[in-house]
Amino acid sequence: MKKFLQACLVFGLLLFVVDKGLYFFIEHAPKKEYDKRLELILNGEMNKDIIILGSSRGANNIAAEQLEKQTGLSTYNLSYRGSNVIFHEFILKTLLKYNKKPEKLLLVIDYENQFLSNHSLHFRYDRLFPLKNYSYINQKLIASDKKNVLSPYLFALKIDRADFNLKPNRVYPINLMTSHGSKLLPPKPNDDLKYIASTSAYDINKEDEEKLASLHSIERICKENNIQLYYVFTPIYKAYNTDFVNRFKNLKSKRASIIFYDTLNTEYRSSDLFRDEAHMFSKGAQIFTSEIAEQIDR
Amino acid sequence: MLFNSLDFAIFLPVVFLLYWFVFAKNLRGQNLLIVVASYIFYGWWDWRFLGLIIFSSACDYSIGFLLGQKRAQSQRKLLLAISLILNLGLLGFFKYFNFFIDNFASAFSFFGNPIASNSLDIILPVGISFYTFQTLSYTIDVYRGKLEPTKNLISFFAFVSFFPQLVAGPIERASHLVPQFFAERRFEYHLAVNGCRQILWGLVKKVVIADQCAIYANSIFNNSSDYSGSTLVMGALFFTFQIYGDFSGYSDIAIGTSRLFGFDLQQNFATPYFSRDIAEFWRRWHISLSTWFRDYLYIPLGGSRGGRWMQVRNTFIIFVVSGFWHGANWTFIFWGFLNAIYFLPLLLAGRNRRHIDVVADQKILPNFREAINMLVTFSLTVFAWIFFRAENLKHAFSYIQGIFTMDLIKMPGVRPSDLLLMVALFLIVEWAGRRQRFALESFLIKKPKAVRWAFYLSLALLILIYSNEAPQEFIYFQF
Repeated sequence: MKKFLQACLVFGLLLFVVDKGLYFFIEHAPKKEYDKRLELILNGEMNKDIIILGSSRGANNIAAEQLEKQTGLSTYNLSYRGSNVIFHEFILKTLLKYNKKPEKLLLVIDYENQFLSNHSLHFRYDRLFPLKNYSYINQKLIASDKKNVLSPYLFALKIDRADFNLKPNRVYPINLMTSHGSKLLPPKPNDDLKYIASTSAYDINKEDEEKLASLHSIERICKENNIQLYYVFTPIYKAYNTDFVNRFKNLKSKRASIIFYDTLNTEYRSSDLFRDEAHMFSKGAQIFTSEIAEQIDR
Repeated sequence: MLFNSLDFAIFLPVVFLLYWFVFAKNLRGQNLLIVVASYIFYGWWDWRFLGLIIFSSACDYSIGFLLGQKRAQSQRKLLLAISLILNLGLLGFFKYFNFFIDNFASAFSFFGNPIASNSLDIILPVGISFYTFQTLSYTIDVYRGKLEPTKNLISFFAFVSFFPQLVAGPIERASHLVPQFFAERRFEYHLAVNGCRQILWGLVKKVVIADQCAIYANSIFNNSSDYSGSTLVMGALFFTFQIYGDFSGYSDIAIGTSRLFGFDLQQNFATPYFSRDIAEFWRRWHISLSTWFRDYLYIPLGGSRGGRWMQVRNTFIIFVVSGFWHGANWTFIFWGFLNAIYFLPLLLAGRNRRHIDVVADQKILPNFREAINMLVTFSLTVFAWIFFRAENLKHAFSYIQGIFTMDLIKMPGVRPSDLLLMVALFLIVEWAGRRQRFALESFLIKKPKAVRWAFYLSLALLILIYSNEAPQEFIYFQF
């Protein structure tokens, strides 16, 4: 028995030592990333006056550098494609933990998709995985059941298989970022895009409670930190869902403002501005960013 | 509690140390510890169903005890019938009630008399099919006089609930396992090390092979209409390795764990995918279930004694029943039936016991004929697994229809190179260890200790790294 226990102990110790060799891959993982925004937040390098949060609508439809010029306030776009409001809440909390608080927060709303459960908007764990070497991030992954509770002690439980590939991650044109975090899309002919005039009814029963709670949490955080919160409805190439907009107005606190695109602006009726019904090319983003700057200055 | 979980990683050493240090010279204490540990292990999943195991154990203990007292054949038959009704009744209720209700309703509707199907919201207790068959083997063996009924309640309860093999086998014979609860146990270093090797290999099968294959198999089977023929073939192949890695991995961990406690469980898998015909495959796949059906169903039905027709009938019965044992779905029944069809030509030609040795026994590689035989058998098995995995028969047939299109000759859309490499390496080790009870038993055993340990460390690291992905439940838990 003694020999067996000794063998188990030696094996365990050797495993522990060999495991430490994996640190190289974990430490290298953030270097492969093109999008370094979350890392900048964690390093306390995101000290801006205006922060934009949202999904691809926020990334594509708001030009942060232009907003900075027009308002005279430093601005950064922290919108992530395919992200949901729960992720936005996480980004805001992380931002406040490691950086000075912004003056203004623009939260881009995904219209009727904002609170729906089972929608393709997600918590972007893929953005967290390369940064698991930050204890804060790893704890979040553990809390979300994405990492083992022993991962702080064993690198083999922390590492992702993708980390073994040391090449920089491929960047798709759609993800190219400006210096201020926006992802402005170069214009392309888009004759096939048709305006959708009809809308469907909005079903409150399909809302996700967790997403609603995140919205309320963002409002509370902004209030506690004296951050001016703006909900932004970016232009869409379709009729907007009035049911949802009314629902949203009832949900939001009085303290928060709404920036709704100018529906009377005929420029937004041109399909040339849009890549699809929800995302604009850079020209459309410039027009809408001017609108935001005007409303913020007011 | 899953074998590939942190809970079990803590549970096992604690029980092991208590077993060998606190109760080292106390057989009764060791058996009692096994019962308590087994109930904790099972209750971790859902403590409410512990009552079912205790009830089943108490019934079969009492019936076994009474069988030992009664001499009259009529009374013994009655006792056996009670045991069969109780055990199969519970299994039937929890596993098959809704299936029969739904099919009766469908049958009535088919004949123009629609009736409402009042199916119940029944949770299938984990492992019920396994421990039911295990306790049945006890009662039947006592009835047949092959086994003395045990008077020791704790030992019997430990036999029924023995945690390593409680929820997914191997289905132990009472005549093999019960006596081990009465034998004094001594810790033996070489057995414990051998057990650890088998646990390690079982975890590799489960975490590195099965769980990774499951990701692709699930994705392809769940969206089969979206994939090309060649990708559907890949999906079937992934499931083939998933189910083998999953189930034989569980058996390896169960057997290895038992060895740590001084118990010897029977081998459940013997590299079945290297079989040269279907008969050999069934001698190597889920051996404990196949032999259970042979001894307690096939032989009582007359086996191969009553002429060719009797043999064919009995063969079909055990294959179909074996399929049905896996689950209350027509897909499993069809899977069993299909295997009977595969088996039939061998039976009729009297060639079903042609390959009872290990393939390429004295050689490194198989000859051309053996390779072709293995390939054909493997292909037939992969084809049959489609029925096993499909949601229903319609899905299975549409999946097969999807395979046989012009897309079949295109490159598959899903071909994860790292997983395919892992499967290839896995097969190499399995091939090298095909003569052993498990692949690692003698793999690199003649190499220096440093080489062997480096290999084991690599496997342990692989398991940890791959376990980062969401763990999947063992497939056979649902049976």
